[in-house]
Amino acid sequence: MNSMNNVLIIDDHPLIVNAYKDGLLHLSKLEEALKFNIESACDCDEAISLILKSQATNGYDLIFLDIQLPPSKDKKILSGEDLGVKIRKLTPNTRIIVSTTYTNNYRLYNIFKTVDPDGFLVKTDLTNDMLMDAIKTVIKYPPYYCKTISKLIRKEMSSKLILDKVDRDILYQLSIGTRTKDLPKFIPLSKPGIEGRKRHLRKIFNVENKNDGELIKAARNSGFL
Amino acid sequence: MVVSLISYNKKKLDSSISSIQSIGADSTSFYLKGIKQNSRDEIFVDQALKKAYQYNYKVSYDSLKNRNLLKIAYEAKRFGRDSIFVKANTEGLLLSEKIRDTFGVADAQWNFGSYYYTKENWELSFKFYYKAHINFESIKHEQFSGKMLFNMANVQSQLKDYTGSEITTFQAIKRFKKINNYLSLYRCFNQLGLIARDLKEFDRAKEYFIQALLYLDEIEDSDVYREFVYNNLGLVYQDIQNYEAAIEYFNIPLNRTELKEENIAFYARLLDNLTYNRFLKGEKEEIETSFLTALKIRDSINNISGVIINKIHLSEYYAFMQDTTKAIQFTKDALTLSKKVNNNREWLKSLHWLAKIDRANADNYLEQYVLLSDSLQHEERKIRNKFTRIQYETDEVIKENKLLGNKLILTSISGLILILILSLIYFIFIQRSKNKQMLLEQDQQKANQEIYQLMLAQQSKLEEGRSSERERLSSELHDGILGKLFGTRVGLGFLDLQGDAQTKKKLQGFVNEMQQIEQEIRAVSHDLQNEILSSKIDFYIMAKQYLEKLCNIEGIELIIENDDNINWEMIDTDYKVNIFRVIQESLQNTIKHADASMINVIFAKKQGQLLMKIKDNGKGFNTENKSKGIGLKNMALRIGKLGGSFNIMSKPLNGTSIIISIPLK
Repeated sequence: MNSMNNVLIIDDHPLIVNAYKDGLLHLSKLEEALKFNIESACDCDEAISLILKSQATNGYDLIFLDIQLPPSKDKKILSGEDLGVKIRKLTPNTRIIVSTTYTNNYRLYNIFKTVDPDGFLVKTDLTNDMLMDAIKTVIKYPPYYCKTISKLIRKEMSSKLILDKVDRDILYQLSIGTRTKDLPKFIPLSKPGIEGRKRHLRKIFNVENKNDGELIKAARNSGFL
Repeated sequence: MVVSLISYNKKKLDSSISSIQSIGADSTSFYLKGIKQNSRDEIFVDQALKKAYQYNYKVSYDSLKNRNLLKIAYEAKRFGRDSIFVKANTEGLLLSEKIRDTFGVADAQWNFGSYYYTKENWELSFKFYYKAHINFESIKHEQFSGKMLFNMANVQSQLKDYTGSEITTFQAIKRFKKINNYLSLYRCFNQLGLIARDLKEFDRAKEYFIQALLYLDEIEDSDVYREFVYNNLGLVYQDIQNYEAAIEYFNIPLNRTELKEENIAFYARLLDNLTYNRFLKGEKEEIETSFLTALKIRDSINNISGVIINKIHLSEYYAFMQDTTKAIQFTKDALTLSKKVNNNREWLKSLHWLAKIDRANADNYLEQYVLLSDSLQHEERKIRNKFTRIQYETDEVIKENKLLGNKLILTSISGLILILILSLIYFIFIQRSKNKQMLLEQDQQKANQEIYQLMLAQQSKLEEGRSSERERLSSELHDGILGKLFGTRVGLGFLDLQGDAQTKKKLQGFVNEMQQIEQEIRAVSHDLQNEILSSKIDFYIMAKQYLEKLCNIEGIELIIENDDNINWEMIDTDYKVNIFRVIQESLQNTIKHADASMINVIFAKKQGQLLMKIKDNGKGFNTENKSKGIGLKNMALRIGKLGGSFNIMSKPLNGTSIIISIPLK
C-alpha cells in the first residue's frame, strides 16, 4: 500500500494534536510506504464540517477521536462518542482510533457498543512505541486495543453475569451518586421497575439486604464499572 | 343459813368472774347468760346484774355496749331491779339516739313503757309505747309496731277509754294480720272481748272471744291460752245470767288435773268463778267450802286482787244466808285491801256492796262511793285527754324530724348532684388536656422528624458542596492536566533530539516518569470520584458526625462501631429519629452528669432486632434509688412506642450503659 492516507486528528488539546502529528510524521520517516495528509479539528463542529467536506473525496482514511470534547453548538453532539457514531454513519469506511483518558469500564463498554473503534487507546497506557504500533496495525490489520481495553474484553467475555444496557445504566447512575428516586429521569423505566431491577442486581452480585455502595463495589470488582 | 347462802353465791360469782376475766370484754354477755340460767337465784341475779352493768363500761364498741345496756335493762325490769333498770335503760336510750340505732331507741322506749305500766303511771307508759310504736313503724318492724299498739290499747282499757282502746287494738290487728302472727291476733281479740264485756256489749264480747279461739286453732300448744278464753267466756255468760253455760266453760279447764300444779292462781280464780255462778244459779251445796278453798289458795300466794274478789263473793253468799255480820266483815276486809293496793275497781265495788248490806252506814258508804267514782272518772278523763295530746305532740315532733330529714335528703341530693357535675367537669377537663397532650405529642413527633430531615438536608447540602468541589478537582485533573501531560509526554517522545545515547536514554527515563505521574494523577482523580460515592449521607455517618463533634468539644474519647449488616437506608425514618434522640439525650446526660472520659457507641443487628448500646465510664448512679428523670422516661417512652425495649444499667463508680433493642419491620 503506497498511497496517501488522509488523517483527521480531533482533540481539544493542541498539545495532543501536535503529539499525534509528531507520531505520524515519525512513522512516515520510519516506513517509506506510509504517507499521511494530516488535518486537525479542536471541537465537534469543526470536525463535522471537515468530514462533510471530505465526503467529496472519498472521506478520511483515519480519524483520531478524543472522547472528552466540548459539545457541538446545537448540543446534538455532546461528546466524542456521539461524534464517533456520526462519523460511522457519514463515512463508514473511515477507520477510527479512539483515544481517551477514561478508564471507567462502563464508558469504555458503551464506546465499544456504539462506535466500535478500529483502534482503542487509553492515554495513560500509551507510550510512543505503542502509538506507532497502533497506527500501523489499524491501517494494515485492525483492530488495535491497548492493555486496559484487552483486560476489559477478557473480563467481559469470561464473566458469567449477563447484564443488559438498562442494568448497566442503573449501576452507572448509582455509581455517580444519583439517588434511586431520581433514577427515572435517566432510565426509561418506572420507579417500581427500577426497584425490581436493583433487587435483581443485588441478587446477581450477591449483596442482598445491603446498601447501594456495596452493590457498586461489587459491580466494579466484576468490571461493570 | 342466809349468810352461808350468800357466801356460797359469792364463791360461785368469784369463780365466774375469774373465768370471765379471761374472756375479757365478753363478761357482760356472760353475766346476762348466767342470769338466764339461774333466774330462780335472786341473790345471784342481783349480783350478776350489777357486775354486768359495771363491766359494760369497759366495752369500747358503741353498738355492742348499747345492745348490752338494753339487755341489762330488760333483765333488770323482769326481776324488778328498778334502780339498775332506770340507769341502764336511760343510758341505752341516749346511746341509741347517739349512734342513730332506731331499733335500739324503740327497744329502750318499749322497756320504759312496760316499766311505767307496772308502776301504773299510765300517762308515761302510754307515751313511751307510742314513741316506740312510731320508731318501729319507721323501720317497718310490723310485729313490734303492732305489739306497741296492743300495749297502748291495754293502757287505754285500764283507764276505761274503751273506744280508744278498741281503735288502737284494731290498728294492731291490721299489722299482725299482715305477718300472720296468730298468737298476737288471739291476744288482740281477747282484749277486744274484754273491752266489749266492760262496755256490756255481751254478744260482741262472745264473738270476739270465739274469734280469739279460732286464731288459737292455728297454733300448737295453745291449751293454756284457750283456758283463759274459756274463763272470759264464762264471765260473759255470768253477766248475761246464763249460769249453766258459764259453769260449763269454767269446768273445762278445771277438769284438767294438771292445771292446779301448773297455774295455782288461775285455778283458784276459776274455782272462785265456778262457785260464784253455782251460788247465783241457786245451788247450796259446798258453796262456802269452795269459796274458802279458793280464798285460802289466793291468800297463800298473796294474790291480793283475787283475795278481794273472793271476799266480796263470800260476803254476797253470807248476806244471802242472812249472816249479816260476816257479810259486812268480809266486805270491809275487801275494802281495806283494795284501798291498800289502790284497786279502784274493787274499792268501788266494795263500797257499793257495803251500802247495800250495812244499812246503818249506807248513806256514808254511798257518799264515799259517789266521791271516789267522781274523782276516778275525773282523773281518767284527764289522762285520756292527755293521750290525744301525747299522740299529737309526738306526731308534731316526728313531722318536724321528717321535715328536717327531707331537708337533709334535699341537701344530700343537691350535694350529690354538685359532686357529679364537678366530677363530670373534672373528667372533661382531664380528657381535654389528654387530647391536648396527644396533639402536642404528635406535633412534637412531627417537629422531631422535621428537625431530622433538616439535619439530613443540611448534611447533604454540605456533602453536595464537597462533592461538587471534588468533582471539579477530579475532572480538572483528569480532563485538563492529564491530557496536557499526555500530549507533552508523547510530543517529547517524538522529538528528534541531537544528542548522545546517554541523553536520549535520560529523556526516555523522564518520559517514563511522566507516564508514572499521569498514572498517579489518574489514581488521585479516581479516588476523588470514589469518595463522592462513599460520602452518600446515611444515618450512621450523621450520628457519628454528631457524636464526634460533641465529644471533641467535651474532650471525651469516642469509640463507635457500626454493623455493615444494617441497611440504614431501609430503616423507617421514625425509628432513626427516635434513635438519634436517644443518642442525643444520653450523650447530654453523660456530658452533664457522668464526668466520663470515654464513650462507646455500638450499633448491631441480631435476629431481626436493631440493637444500640451506649456506654460511658463515668461515675454512674444507683438505678434503684433515683426516681427516673424526665429524660430517661422520655427515652424509654420513645423506644416503647416503637415496640422496643429500653434498659439502663448503672452502678455508682461503674459507668452507665443504655441498651435499646427495636424489632425491625
